[in-house]
Amino acid sequence: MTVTLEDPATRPARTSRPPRFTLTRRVGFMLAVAWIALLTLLALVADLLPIPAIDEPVGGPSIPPFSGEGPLLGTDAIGRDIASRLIHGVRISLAVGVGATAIAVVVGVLLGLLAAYTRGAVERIINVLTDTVLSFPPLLLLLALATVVTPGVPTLVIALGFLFVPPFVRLTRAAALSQLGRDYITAARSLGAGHARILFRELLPNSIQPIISYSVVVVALIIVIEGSLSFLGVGVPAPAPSWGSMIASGKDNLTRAPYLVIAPSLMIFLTVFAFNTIGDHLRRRIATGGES
Amino acid sequence: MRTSRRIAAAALAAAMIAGLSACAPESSSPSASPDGEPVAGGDATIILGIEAVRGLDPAFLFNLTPSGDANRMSAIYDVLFWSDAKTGEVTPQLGESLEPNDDGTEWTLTLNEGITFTDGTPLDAEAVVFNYERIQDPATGSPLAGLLEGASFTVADDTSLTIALPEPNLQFDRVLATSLTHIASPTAIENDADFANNPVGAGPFVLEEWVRDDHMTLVRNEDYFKEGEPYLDSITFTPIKDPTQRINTVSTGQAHAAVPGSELSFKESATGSGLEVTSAPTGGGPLLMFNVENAPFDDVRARKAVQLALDINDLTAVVDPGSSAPESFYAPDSAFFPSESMFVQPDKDAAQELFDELAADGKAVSFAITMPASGFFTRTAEYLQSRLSQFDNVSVTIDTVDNATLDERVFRNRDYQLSAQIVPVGDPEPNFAKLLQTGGQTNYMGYSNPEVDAALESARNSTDEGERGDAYATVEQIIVDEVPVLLVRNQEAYTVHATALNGLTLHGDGSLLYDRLWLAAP
Amino acid sequence: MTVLQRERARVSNIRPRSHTLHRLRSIGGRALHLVAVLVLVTLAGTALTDLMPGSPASIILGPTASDEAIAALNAEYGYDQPLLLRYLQWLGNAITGDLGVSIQSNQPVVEVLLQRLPVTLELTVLALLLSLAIAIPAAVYAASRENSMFDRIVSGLASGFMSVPVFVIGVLLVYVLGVATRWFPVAGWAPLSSGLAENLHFVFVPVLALALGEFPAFYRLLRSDVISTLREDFVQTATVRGMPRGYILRRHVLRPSSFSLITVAAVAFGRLLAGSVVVESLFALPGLGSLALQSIPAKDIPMIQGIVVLVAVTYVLINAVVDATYALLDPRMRRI
Repeated sequence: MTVTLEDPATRPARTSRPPRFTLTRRVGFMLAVAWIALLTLLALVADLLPIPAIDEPVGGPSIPPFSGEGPLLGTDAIGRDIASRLIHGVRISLAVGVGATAIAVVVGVLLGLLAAYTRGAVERIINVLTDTVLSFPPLLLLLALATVVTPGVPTLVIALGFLFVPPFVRLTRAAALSQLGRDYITAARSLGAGHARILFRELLPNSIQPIISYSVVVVALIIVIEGSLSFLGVGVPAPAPSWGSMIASGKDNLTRAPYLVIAPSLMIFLTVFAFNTIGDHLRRRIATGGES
Repeated sequence: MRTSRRIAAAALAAAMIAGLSACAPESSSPSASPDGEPVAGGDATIILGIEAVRGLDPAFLFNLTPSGDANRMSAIYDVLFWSDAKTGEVTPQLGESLEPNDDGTEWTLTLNEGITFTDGTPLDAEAVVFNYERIQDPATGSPLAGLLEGASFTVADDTSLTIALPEPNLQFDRVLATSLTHIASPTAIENDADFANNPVGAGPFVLEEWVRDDHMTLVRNEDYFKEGEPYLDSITFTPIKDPTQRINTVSTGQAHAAVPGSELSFKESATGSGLEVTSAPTGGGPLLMFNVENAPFDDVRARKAVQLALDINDLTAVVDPGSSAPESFYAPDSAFFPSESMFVQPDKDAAQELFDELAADGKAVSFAITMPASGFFTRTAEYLQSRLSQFDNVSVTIDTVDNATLDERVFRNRDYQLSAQIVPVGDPEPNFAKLLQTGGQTNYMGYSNPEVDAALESARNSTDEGERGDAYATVEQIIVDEVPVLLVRNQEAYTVHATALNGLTLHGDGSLLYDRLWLAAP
Repeated sequence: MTVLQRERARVSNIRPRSHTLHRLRSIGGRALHLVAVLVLVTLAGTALTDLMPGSPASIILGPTASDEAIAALNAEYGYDQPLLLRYLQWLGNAITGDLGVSIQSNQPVVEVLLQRLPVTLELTVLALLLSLAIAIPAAVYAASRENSMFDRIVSGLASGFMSVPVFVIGVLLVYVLGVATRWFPVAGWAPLSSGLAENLHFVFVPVLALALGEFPAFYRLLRSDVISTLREDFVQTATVRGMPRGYILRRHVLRPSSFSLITVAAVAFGRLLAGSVVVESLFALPGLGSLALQSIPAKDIPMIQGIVVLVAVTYVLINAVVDATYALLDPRMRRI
């Protein structure tokens, strides 16, 4: 996928029928959660595992996986352990995906609530700013940033987080607007609740559901974007083992050593698939619960 | 609206199917030539690596890399003289002869008679002088100005001129044949402010159409000075950034030839797909440059330690499978190949001792590798980082940069610690000397050793091959001891091509000569 | 139109709905908003290029140039001026349609953009059409036979393709359709002027790569829309009344769903236009993406600014078109 700014409207899976979690669907969801849990665990304890360092030569170049010689998943073109690099790659993907999403959610939700609650000039300014970010070519921004500041995980987290603020502003604003007219807000107001209380104790909890399910999908999206950037050579710099850069360096040898491309591709696929599955599941539950 | 969209979708599907059934674009090849004699006609497509973004001005020939400008310029401007990519031997083309006086202070350049540029301007001695003086002019800002610094030119008659050099140089013909060999029409330069985008030369082909990043079409120059040449009707250059894709286009029949870039391992995959490889193994090659003006490599022990720590045989096998480790700056069949191998055996213990010693002196070896983002260099950087990190008291980071940043940071500001460049060395002049003498054009290391300078000077001005050999051997020994640069792989200029394309001659750093290319029917 | 669809529409776009005076006022407000966005975007573009290391002159003149020559050239182009002044000068020219001249190639920026735009535009439009051509029939069929084998397979494929990055799809397609079978060129471009068949022959694989990445969004959206619409009372009534199924699908199902489709398609269009870089770079297509990819490191400031303007204006136009389409499609909005 290309560098993308997904509009929240892109992913509204909504059905008005009663919840029907088929067995396969439930199993799929459990597997997805298990996979993400496993990845999170690996990312946390990667340094403690008895695996070689990401830059340690462990054998000849391009040893195929399960070949009996060399490590279990073989070695890359430089002779480094593929398994170890994949596991450390989890860290980069999750750090960038979750970190950037966290920034986007926090900033986006705050601005969205503010816009919905204050209306008027503040809302208009926030609208102009979100449209400005949305209409700036995202790749130009990322490419240019890569030349301005040292590329790396923190840079990517901040830049991608920044780029994903607008969709969250819009989503939050819409959700909050639909709540503002409701009785419980009026009731809180008449009870003399302060702005902060209404915003964070009443409005936020009642608008948060679509934001949570959307943010899971954004994590998946950002993981793909990080992969694309590293594939183009402007993401996480070497020797850090980003899945995208592993694919990029493996593709020159696709015919001779396809596993150098397949292994990281599979990791991206499974991870993104898992996040999407979880996102779908959450959305389905919200849709069926909130519609009545 | 619904209906029209459906129709549009159906039309699209139909068109796509039509596209599916269309076969690969045909190359109009000439009739068969069973005896291997060149035949006239045919259109060839040649894949290069990068677009000539700055245009094609011979005064701005930054480097001779065949994947870029040098190939295009050879087709449009042709060459006065060309130097064999393998041996460095100089052969006349548009020029007729290039002779020095006894001490090499004055060179007489004679041109073939009756050559005109494609705009009708004669390619005479005046035109050559015009081009050279333009390169000298500081207002032009030519990167080649240094090569002609202090030189003066006298036109003898229409076809001959003398070049007076400020210092004797018996090897000036090699400089001229590599860097000063393309001559453009003075009329075009004077009258067209956008000349670089509308180049006019006297070469075998004339620019017809140029759509940047897509294709550059050249058609046969009907008034080319050689009777019956060029053989081809047209040449199309297409830039493709991805080197694997470059080979793919040739192996699928989409193009006739491709310049694959810095990796030798593509040779194998090309021959594996039934392609031919025309190559010129030279000396020199990709080399690590140590910035000797900055820490940590201002200390010779740090450079020595890296040299001893690396197993270059392993490096070449890993980074560029199918290539080999160089034993000298010269190819094994070169007259300058030393009597014994200059290969330095790795000695990990000695390296570790040096690293420890430096750390004890408070000069722990910690540096960044600044490399361009291309397969070979990236892998080299990752290899270095991976292998050197196994030593104690060494820390290595990788700084991957784009070419413009590389130009700026490494080649211009010399704000780096370890980087790399590719220096092919056919004859030691001019490339070897440019790399190592004080202030040399490609001496980005800031290396300066009077002994090296003196030896290079004496070799340059000796006509005795034995004497030259001794001098260059001296230089090579000093380089092995002081390690301003470290060769990491043998060098081979090559072009991958379909069997139908014939007459490939590699000159300079591996560009083709376009007058003699011809296509046989498959 | 259901509550949620309107909700969804509002998320992506804020449209005023009220009487004439209000409408005029809001059109004025909207215009002001767009101008503010465009000014901010282009100002950000100038500021960004300003932050990038190295000066344009040192890149033009190369590593051998003297410091004086570089300073002189920077002064000639005006790059020694303060940021705001430079921006205002640029803005003044840009309003008259003059986006300057590329630092690298000396070509007028407008000319280059007009040369590159058709490539990216064709890629984008064909990719959108192809993904819609896959998604619409598949989604309607799958929805009308919910949980059938067809539904499960196609839904699974959609989820799958949604999780494969386009660069992986691209690399695989090159090998399958180009290198192994030789059915299609592995890279390169043939303009329409060299014939429609040849043009499509070259553009097919990159379009397919993009379309495979885009169609899941359309498919999933439409499928769930159609499923929920089919359950609505009026559709049930129409079915009971014995109206032809095709008519029902067109009239009562596809029409309301086209709102969300248009929104998604518009967003996808903007995204593809600005971001087909990976595909353009892999297939060596002379589009806007590869132009951006080479203009940034070259510090080609006028060109970078040109791309920023083009993308921003396109984004703004797309939003306007989406607004207009809503007005056309939604009778309630037409009435205003």
